[in-house]
Amino acid sequence: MKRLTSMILMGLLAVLMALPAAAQGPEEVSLWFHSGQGSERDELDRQITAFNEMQDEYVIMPLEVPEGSYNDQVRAAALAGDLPCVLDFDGPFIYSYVFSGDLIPLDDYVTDELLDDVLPSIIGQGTVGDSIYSLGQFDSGLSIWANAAMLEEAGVRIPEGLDDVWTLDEFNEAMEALAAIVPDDGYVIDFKFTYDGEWYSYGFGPMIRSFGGDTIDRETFETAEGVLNGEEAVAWGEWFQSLFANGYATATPVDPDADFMEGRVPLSWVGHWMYNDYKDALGDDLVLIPAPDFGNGAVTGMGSWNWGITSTCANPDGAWTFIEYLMDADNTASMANANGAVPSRISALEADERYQEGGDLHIYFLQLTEGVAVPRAQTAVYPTISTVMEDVVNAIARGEDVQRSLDAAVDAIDSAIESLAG
Amino acid sequence: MMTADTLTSQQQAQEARRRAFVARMREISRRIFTYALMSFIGFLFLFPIIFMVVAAFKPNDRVIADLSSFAALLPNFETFTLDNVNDVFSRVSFDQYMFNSLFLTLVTVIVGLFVNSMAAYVLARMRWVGRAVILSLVVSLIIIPLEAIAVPLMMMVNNMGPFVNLVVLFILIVITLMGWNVIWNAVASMTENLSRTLPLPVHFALQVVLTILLTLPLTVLIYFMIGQIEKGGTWLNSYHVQILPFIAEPFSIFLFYQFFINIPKDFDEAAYVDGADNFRIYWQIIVPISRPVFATVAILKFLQFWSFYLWPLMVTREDTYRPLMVGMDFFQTQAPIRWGSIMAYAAMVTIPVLITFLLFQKWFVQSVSSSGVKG
Amino acid sequence: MRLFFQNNLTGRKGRDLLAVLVMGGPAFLLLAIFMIWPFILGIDLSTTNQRFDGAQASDIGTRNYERILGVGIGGLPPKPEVFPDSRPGVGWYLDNQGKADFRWRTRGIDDLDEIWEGLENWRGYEVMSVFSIGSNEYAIFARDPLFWRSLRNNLAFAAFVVPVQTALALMLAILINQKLPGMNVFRTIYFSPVVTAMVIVAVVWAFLYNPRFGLINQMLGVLSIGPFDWLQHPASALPAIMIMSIWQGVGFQMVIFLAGLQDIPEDLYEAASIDGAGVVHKFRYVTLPMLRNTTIFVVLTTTILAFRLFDQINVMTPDGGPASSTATMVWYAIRRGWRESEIGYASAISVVFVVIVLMISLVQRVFVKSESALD
Repeated sequence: MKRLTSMILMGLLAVLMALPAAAQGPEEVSLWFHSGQGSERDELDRQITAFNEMQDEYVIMPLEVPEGSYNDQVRAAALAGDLPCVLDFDGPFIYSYVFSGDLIPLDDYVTDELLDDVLPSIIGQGTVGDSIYSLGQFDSGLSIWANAAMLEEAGVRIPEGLDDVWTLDEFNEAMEALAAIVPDDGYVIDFKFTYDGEWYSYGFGPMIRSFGGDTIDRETFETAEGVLNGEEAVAWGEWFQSLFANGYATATPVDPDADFMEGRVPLSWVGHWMYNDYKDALGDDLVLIPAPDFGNGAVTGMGSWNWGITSTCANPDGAWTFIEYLMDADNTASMANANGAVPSRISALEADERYQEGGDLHIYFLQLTEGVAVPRAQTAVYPTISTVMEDVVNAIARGEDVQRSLDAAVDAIDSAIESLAG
Repeated sequence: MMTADTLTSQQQAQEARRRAFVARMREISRRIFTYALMSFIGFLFLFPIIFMVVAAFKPNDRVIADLSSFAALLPNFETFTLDNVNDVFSRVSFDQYMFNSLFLTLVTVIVGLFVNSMAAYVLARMRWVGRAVILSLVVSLIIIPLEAIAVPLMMMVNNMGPFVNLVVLFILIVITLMGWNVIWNAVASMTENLSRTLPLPVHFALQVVLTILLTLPLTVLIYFMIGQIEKGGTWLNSYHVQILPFIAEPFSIFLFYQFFINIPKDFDEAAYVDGADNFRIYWQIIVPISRPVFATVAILKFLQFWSFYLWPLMVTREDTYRPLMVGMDFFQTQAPIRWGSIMAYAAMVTIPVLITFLLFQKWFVQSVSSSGVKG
Repeated sequence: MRLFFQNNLTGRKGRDLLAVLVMGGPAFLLLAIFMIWPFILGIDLSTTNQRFDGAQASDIGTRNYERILGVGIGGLPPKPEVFPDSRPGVGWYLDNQGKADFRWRTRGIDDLDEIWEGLENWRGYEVMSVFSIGSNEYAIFARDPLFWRSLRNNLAFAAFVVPVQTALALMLAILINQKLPGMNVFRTIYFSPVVTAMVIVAVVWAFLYNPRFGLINQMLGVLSIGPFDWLQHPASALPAIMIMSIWQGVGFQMVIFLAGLQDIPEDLYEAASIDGAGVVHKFRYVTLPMLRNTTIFVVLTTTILAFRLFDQINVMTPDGGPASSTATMVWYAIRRGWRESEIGYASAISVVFVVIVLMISLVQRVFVKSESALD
């Protein structure tokens, strides 16, 4: 009896061992994407489902990874050889991924016909050396969303286009005028200090540049000394700090989206991704104000999430088939519609009246095509710049010494450059 | 100043009554003061929890609006709403996180109890070459916290070789075989009465089914490990990477050891002389009288793994494997930030544990106090 | 399974050995694989520049340790009468609070000794803080100031939390230990934060600490205290986390003390009463000596927890707080190893961390030894 039971249990174990067996079917193509805003996620889900249904050669297996630690996860997976086939990543990280050999060039796949119809900013961002490594469905727009009714009440001028953007003085005057009319529980400008990670480099790097500084020396890419801690960057830091010290902005907002949408805050320095929510809340009162000229010309951010194929991908043809499908004019248009971003296909852009003269998002179009938008630092140490910018922008907003904070940021970036070099 | 001999007996009685009255008043006021002090301290301990629960069931816009008054701490039944709860479920896979946390915690705790108590038995009740060395090694491992080895451990599980995978699988099979043996016999004695009324095949089938169910945590681990060996490569982003490194744990072994070593020798000597094997002595004699220490370790481990954060944060990347605490960390930073929903998430994690705590309070308190007696 | 034990191995020795291997083996092997091996691997990695993103690792000897531990005090040139408007690369300037600070940007300056004798020694270091003795100015130079700040924060945390939490726990235990009705209710209340997971507690408290909306500032406002910036200010961020940690953990220690109190024989107090001892005397000469072991245990565990500090930090101040005022060693190791993928460097930090924890335990061992000698 005892022997019998032992044998039965052994048998069960043997059966269990045989259990995990894969089913045959279309080729699986794994994919990672960042968990962005709801509508963007839903739209991507829809496109993936549609792709899986319209053909039976490949099946896309998507995996959603939180945006805050996206890059960390990619690195961990890269070391383990566990990257998916199709990788979604934020634009500037491309240099670091290509440097580590994680991506393959797309040159053999892309057609000239496609490239001719893609925004130059997208191609510029996806190109490292002479090869293109990534393509994106949309580019980003960054400037100031404003509540027109409140601006009018305070008598603040709303610029029409790129020729009459606010100057630094005008920006400061607007702060003062608006501070007089915001309710007691409000403030003047929302800088989205509830965000984590990449936002601080994306959102405030351009401001520093508009003051004349930068996050790295773009001549040599060998140091940030004198650039991120030079006089111009310090001037930015001191000015930026004064916005918080004067109560125009808060480093500890609880629900900044609601603050803007419910009329407690007239200005919001944020990207295109808030467009749909803001539009729903404010309707015709929502206006887009172009990035101000803080002294060294108006500068804004660009670049957004991109698609690339990893070097460990067993099925690059399947991966490309999917990316090509995503880059289809209809799909870029409907994605841009879902997330308020600028579609990357020029034909889609021209068909969308929001980007035409008088449209809500016309300013984005101008900024991206007239050279106001500048890519983030094209260097393999970009991940460090990203975390350092998060630290330094927060430190300055909290009132810490500007020079000391920026010096520390430079030290961190320079030591990353050093350690990467050898 | 009055002295006793100048007082009449009536005065004496009066004075005694007065003194008794004063003493009683003093005692009463002392009690009032004590209770007031303790209630105030109680308020300090409870208000964050009350706030969390109240805010969880309040419309999101009221959460901040009510903050400036005590309304923040008072439940308002008129505005009671499940909006926040629904928002949590619609925006993150809360049910998946909850399942993961329960699953990971229970498997780690249950398998850990078995493995660590056996190791403690071997150390405490048997004499063998190398016992002293292993014992002092285990004791000295107590002071190495996970935090100190997290980075190299992650590096290691990321590139686990096939040989180590096989060793781990082998260990699991050994544990499982013993587990099956234990459960099989335990089920047999439990269903003994039934066997008189049920036909043998039915009884046998029942026994098999019960055994499989009760040993599921072990079988599941074997299943994971086989999958891992088939897949090869990294352990990251899986259930077993969150379980296997934490099954054997020096402090648990130490707690069991302390208990087992204090059980008198003659307790199991007779059985040993009768030829019972060690495993049987462990299971039939030592375990039944050691229930308190099992409860202690189980509860301490439960609290530890339920709130486990650092390691799952490093090794999970998708919802399928993510436990509640890491989910909380992401949820609280994921736009749109709605504090009502965040509090609802927090409340849904906390309330079940609080209720369990209230039900088994005595055990909780006992286990904590016995963790420290010997130091 | 019993067949397995009994068939061929009838000899007692052999039977025992097999039992040791089968029952103890799994735990010991698992400990070897998942604790000892990563620990050794960590020591090994700490002498390399291993990165997580696939770049080739090479042996760099003790360079990581030199960077971590590189610290020293150097003389600075005297403060100028008038501070320059534009900041010099190397020299004094006034920060935005009007405080003099020494700027240290050595890139591009060939001979630092020309500025002030001895400065050349500190090339490659950063200025951590400046101070003056008499009319001479000095700076603490460190190669990795963040490590030293983290260590300082851990020490500050331990220096405050250990005594305060221990004293509070003892006080609460004495309150609870009174023979009055309803004490169980208070015990339950004081203990309830312990069963609430730290991540959840941290998220809830981060909201309570919000300078504008947080309940804590609102409540202190009633008493006309504050408002404080809590987590946003370098001076208050770590204290805020300390207060929350005490709130969450004190119930655990309280229960341990309670068990200790209840073990004190009642007749000791009676004897003391007969000798005319008052409450204070009884506490001083009966309670405290009898709780000596318990207190040592509580102090040790709290100290080690203070050095393992991570969960609260990472949830409430993921960037290490204003001016790195909440950075801790574990947080720093995880940041370097996991977020910035410098496995080698993070392993070296972990090794230093283990050494520190080890030293604390050894100090503790000495205390316990001297106590057991008395018994």
